[in-house]
Amino acid sequence: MRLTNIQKIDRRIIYLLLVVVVAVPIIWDFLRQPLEMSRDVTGVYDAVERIPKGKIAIISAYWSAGTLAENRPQTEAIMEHLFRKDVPFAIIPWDQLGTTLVYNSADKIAKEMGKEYGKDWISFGYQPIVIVGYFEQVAQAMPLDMHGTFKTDKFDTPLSKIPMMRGIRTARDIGLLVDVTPSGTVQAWISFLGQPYKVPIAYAPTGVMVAEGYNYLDAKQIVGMLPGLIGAAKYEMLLEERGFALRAANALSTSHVLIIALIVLGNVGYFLSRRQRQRM
Amino acid sequence: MEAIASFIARHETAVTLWAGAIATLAIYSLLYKENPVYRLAEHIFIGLATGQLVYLTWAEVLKPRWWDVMVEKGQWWWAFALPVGLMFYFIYSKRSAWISRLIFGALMGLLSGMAFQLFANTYIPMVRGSFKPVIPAPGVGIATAANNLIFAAVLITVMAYFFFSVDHKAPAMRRTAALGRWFLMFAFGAMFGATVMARMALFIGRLDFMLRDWGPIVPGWFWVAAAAIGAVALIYVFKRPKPPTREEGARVPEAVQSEAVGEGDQK
Repeated sequence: MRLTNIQKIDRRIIYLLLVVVVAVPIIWDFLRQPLEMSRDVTGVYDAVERIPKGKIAIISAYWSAGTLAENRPQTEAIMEHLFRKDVPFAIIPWDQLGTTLVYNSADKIAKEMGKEYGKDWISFGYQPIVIVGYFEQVAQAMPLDMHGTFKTDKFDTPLSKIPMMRGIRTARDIGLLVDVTPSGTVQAWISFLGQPYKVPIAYAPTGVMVAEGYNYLDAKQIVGMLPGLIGAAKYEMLLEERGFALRAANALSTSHVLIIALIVLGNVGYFLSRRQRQRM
Repeated sequence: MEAIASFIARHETAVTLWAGAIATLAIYSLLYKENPVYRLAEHIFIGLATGQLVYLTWAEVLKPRWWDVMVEKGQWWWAFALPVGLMFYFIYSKRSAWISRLIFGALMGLLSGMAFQLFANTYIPMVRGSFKPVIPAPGVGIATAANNLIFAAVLITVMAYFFFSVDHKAPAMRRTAALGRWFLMFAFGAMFGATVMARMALFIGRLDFMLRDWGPIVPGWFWVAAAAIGAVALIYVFKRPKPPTREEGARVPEAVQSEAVGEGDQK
């Protein structure tokens, strides 16, 4: 193949290359790349460590199957940390598919760590974010009266009858809110919970939303951030627990190397063919 | 039907993994080309998601919070929520659309109030946070001051780019705005890079599922058959006659071209 034809590589060959480049580190898991810890990730870790006794954490989970690879390891890493610290937490599921996924994640980790539903964690039922303004209304009402806002948990049990929720009513009882989301929902939490009631907010967005998150971090509106899959991998490192995120971080690096190589090759092909055209 | 249900119950994990793997392969088949298997998988997914949405909205929202409260606890006044909700649908009637405007107006008022609070609580702290010390002082190291200086320079130049009250013909303004545009380009590049990273992560998640969750339960003969089919497909892709390129198409003799046009006219 002539170098000028580099730009005409069949896209399916590129897909095949990508599969190979990603599959190798997943199958053999031999790479151990150094991950440098960053302040945004340690900010979340420290915020969990600082939650006072008697307060709970809230996990606002607005993710689904589409962003599972990024948001699930973030959610699971934070859940594991909360369980280790014996901090009870409540999940607010906002997505119809994510409701089951996030519940299954918490249930799996709880069983592994011997934690009990109702005492160590609960899940509020599905919250229909698709209704215009519903999310903002919940974010506004929850700090004033959690029992009145949600009323029951996923299994229709009144919150007053759940041991973990006794004495937990307002923003003063929330030690940390973690927003795991592929969307811009953190803005409402900052506006209706973080700023007025000084409740620490941690943000776990997908890679697409990371750039926006740094504005909130810089203005100290959030205490920390887990930027996409890499954020989850760093959190796993802090927990000294090698899970999916750390394994996937290697595959992510090899895929980036391939993309950079293809960009370079594409540009080489472009300049060579341009020079050829100029000569003709 | 019962036999299928009992089979699924007995082999729940295997059925789940196989369903996930088949769905993943069906969706990724689009990467080769558009095909009915992909379309089928897409429609199944949309149907499932919609079905789940309808079920959860009833079972976890409307039933416990509205129906049960109204019917079982005797709070009859919740019945008024239904006609209020139905007011939205009058938008489809030309004569009675004014009814929907009443409820839309109320909703807009509510959302506007919330939007104001959202804006104030989001952006005012950001503006406050942008006042940073750019000169080293006690508590402000040289590195911090340098970072803050870069921050201030980027902020001012980018704002200059979007400042249209002053003519950008003046050299100072033009150059500042041009620098701002460069910074914006860097930011867009970083955002695009983050997006690529996110998309790669999603692909890695699927491949991890295929290789580490589904892979171990797949019998050996399946891999052999898959490899054979893959090899045949590759041979087909590389050996099939290629369609003429644009340059080659242009070199078709005139006689052949006119013949082809003639055939087309007859049809």
